[in-house]
Amino acid sequence: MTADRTVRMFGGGSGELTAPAQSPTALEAVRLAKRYRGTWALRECTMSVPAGRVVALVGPNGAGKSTFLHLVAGLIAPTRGSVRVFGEPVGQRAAALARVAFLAQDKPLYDGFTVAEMLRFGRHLNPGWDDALARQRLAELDIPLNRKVGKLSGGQQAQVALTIAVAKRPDLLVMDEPLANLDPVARHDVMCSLMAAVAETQMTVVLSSHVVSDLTNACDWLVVLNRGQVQISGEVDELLATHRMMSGPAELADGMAARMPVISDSRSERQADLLVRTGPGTPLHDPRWSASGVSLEELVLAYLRRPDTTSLPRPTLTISDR
Amino acid sequence: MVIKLRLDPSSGVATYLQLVHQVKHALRLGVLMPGDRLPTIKEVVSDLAINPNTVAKAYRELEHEGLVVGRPGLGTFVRRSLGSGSTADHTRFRRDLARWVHDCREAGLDQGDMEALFASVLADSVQEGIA
Amino acid sequence: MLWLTWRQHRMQVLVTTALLAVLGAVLLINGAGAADFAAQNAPAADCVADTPVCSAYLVEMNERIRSVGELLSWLPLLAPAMIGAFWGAPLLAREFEQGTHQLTWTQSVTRRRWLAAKIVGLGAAVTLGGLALAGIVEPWLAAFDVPPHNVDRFDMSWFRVVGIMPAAWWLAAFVLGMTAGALFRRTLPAMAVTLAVCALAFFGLLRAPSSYATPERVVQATVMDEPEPDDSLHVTSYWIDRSGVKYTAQERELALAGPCGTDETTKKYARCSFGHGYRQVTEFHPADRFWQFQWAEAGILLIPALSLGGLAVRRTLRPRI
Repeated sequence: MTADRTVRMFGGGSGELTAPAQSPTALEAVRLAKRYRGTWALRECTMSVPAGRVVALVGPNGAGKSTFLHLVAGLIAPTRGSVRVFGEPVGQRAAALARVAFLAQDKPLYDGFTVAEMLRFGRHLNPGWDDALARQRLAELDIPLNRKVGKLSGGQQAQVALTIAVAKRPDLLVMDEPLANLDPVARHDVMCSLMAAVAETQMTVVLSSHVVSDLTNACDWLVVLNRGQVQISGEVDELLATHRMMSGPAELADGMAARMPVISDSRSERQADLLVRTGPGTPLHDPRWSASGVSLEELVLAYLRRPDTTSLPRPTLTISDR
Repeated sequence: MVIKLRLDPSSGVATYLQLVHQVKHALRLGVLMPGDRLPTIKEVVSDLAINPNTVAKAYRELEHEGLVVGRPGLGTFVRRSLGSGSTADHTRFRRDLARWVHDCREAGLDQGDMEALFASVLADSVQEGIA
Repeated sequence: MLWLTWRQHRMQVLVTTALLAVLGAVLLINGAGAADFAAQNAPAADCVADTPVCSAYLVEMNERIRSVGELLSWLPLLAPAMIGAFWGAPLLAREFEQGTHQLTWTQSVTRRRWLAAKIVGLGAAVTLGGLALAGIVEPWLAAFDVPPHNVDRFDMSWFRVVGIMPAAWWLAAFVLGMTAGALFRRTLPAMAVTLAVCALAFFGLLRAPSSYATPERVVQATVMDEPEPDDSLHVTSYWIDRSGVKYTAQERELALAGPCGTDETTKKYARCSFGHGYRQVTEFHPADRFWQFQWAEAGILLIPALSLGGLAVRRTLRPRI
């Protein structure tokens, strides 16, 4: 897989020097596919993500995001292909289970348990449980340990569920729509809390959302799933740097389109706006065209409207656009 | 915590650059002095919900410019202040500027007028190579 | 896992223990009273003849045993149904319904170990509960088993509350409930189905023990008070004539109305019947088959239950949501 420079942070965020290094692959799917009763929820997904990233998994409803995350978490088995976490296959072995933490949609907890009992649950079921970390997090969030989980607010329940996942000290944290059903304050708090946990533990995170803007600042890797296939998998900075919105005369649009891949094409009588993917080091000299950057959201929307286009890392994998 | 970092999502400037600019601004104003500790990465992301890598990148940039230094296990500390002129100079210039602002107001200029005027004079002086 | 199993199911354990304790207290009071009464009033002689002392004693003992016996007679139907519905059905169904399986099965414990701990822990508790029920009924019955009042454990009134029957029924119901939960993945439907199947099993097996072996036959040619030995399970009795043709009691009465009169309760009538060549046949199971029948019914319950349970377990262990 493509080696990417990874920022390694030491000792809980002192802001030290980076050590550009070959990072291990946190998550790798090879031709991963899943069929439910005749419909293919995922088809031939191949992608990989380096360690230490916060990955945004976006796509429309029904694109297969939940299915993909459940496969990574080991809750379901693939119909075809494989998925590996840090090189180990996902499955029903205690060692494999210990590496990955999963936070399901609806953030399930045992409503009748107190918060302290939920921590005990974590302690009893996970040999790698970090109780001090869990208690510290909950104390920082002002969540009382002796209250029943069912009596907490939605945001507090989300924080407790996140704490249980984080205190397991996983190498990979997988979250299925963690911000759904949360009010804006709770959404912000959960993201802050999550980023603090990443700063402390250097774990890799994959979280899904169908609202891109929630994840823009937090995520440094983007995966777009559309109709069961991977459309985009790449570093956010690189994606934003290699896509440009070109505005220019409508009659020159076809010429531009011939020169570089066009993702979205919107023309009026006189003007054309093309979202293009510039290769690395492809100069844009033409003064008749003005180039501007795009936001991540615009990028995702443009790709989603053209399911047959992909932006996947250069490497040696052959991906069929099926 | 000496300073709190903020974000302007609509500014169009990359997040890490915004952080760099804020630290530099604080250095210029004297809010941050040499020896002060910058907020830890964890503190920043707990407030701003941004990727820790982004903060690390900003701090690396500042370290690269020699403004801060990272000490393992202790934090990131300000190495030198920014801006020229002594503190006494700054005090004098503040006083002169305050007087200028007062005079402009007397003449009926509002904040926008004053900012435009100042920016124009500054730009002219840059052109003339004085500043 | 032990703590988790207890914490999740402590309500069931506590309520069941409390109910057993209450029942135990009731049986204790009633049994102690009966033992007292029997110690003071039991006739010394064998009550072959119908003396007033005998009948007074028997009537009183019957009254005492009946008051609690009616309560106990509901247990073989209700107890397994409740165990199945409240211990078994929610085990898996609740996890699926609340989505907590997505939480629990992504901790560091494999599904297999999680399920094994739950089944073994709760299965053992349920079995112990059933044995405890038999354990508190047994001394209570013993208090009434003072001649001439006789308590026959083989009798269908008591057969299912003694020995290993409660334990077998409870365990089978628990496994059945768990299976329903695995199948339906919703607590209420699983409970409903479990209750229905428990009721079906109860009523289906109600008269079944008679068929667990070939009954013994006794042919009576003379007047006998007790054609079948003590404490045996009565199956049926009928009359045959000289040539071996079967008659019901009514048919025999009709046939003999002329020669022997109509009052079939007297010994004279009996001697007249025998005189005309009629023989009474009694089919029964002797008392020494008691334990064989207990194990037979346990097998009938547990083999299908455990087989279905095994299928449910295998299905649950396969990695699908």
